[in-house]
Amino acid sequence: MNGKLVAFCCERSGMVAWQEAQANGGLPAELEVVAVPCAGRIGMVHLLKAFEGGAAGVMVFACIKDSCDSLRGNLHAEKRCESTRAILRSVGMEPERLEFCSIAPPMGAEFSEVVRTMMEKVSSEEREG
Amino acid sequence: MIVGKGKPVEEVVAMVEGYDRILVVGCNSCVAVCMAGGEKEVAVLASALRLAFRAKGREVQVEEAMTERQCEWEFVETVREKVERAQAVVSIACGVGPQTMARKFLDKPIYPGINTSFMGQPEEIGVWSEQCGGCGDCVLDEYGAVCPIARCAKRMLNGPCGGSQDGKCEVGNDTDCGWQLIYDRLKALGQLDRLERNVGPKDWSTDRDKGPRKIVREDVRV
Repeated sequence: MNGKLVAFCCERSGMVAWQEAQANGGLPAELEVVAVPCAGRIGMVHLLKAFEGGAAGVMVFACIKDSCDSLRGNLHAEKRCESTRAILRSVGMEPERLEFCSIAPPMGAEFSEVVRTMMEKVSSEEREG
Repeated sequence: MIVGKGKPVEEVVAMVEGYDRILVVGCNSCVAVCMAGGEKEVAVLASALRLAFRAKGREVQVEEAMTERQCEWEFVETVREKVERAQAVVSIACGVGPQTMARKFLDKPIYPGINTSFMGQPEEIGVWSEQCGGCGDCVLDEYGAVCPIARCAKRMLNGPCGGSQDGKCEVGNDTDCGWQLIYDRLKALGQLDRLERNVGPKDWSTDRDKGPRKIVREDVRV
């Protein structure tokens, strides 16, 4: 895989899940984790800048529905991911390189699975491309 | 405020395809409030342009700049240095912005990055509606402050047409019938008698029909 993977993680859910995944081992060295106080803080520009900065795949880990401590931060994050995917498509990049994931704090195994799937997706697109 | 919506990125990419140094300029006024041309939108478009050109195998330099109000000479002057560095400028102000830029920077190609739509109001987050048609001869006093020019699809001045059903307009899109709104408002104000008079044909010479308009205020000119 060329480039790194970037995971934007809500401190209340994604970060906790990442810590558990990290403790269990198996996360790729290419993974860069960015902690945010709430996924609603993540703007389209942050996602695009991550790609500009060389990310091969970007993931957003937000709280599951109705569990956002800031009420709707997770919903905003999901919408912004959708809009950013539309931009990726229009600039000739694969929208699948950006993934939104709802996650609860103890879901470390799911966190690892999302990262693994993204790595496979990116690697296979690079092989095809 | 003036309300606009960003053009598709592909359209903007096609406009500036041949340039190596591009400047994206936003405006901190109306279009910032309607989330079409503010600082965040400048950053997103600039980033999208860089990615688009990179995907085509080109490294294009895309700079970003903001003006406080892109419709005024003084504020446009503040971005001169960046404009001069660029080969082309994409303005995501309303349609007035690119034209002000073009009149200020005569040798610089200026391209529009948003579609300017109307003068309107935010209804709720992500929803804006047209409220004023800028006809140049305001009649809101007669209609309970609901504009029949902007809010009735047919600009009717003497009551609704037959296309008004259950308070909605026949044009669809869940558009309220402007005349239902006028009726409800005047009823609430106890001014329904206003609707009993016949209004003659409107003098449209103050509207766009007489060509581009200009206001000259001698009282403030020195």
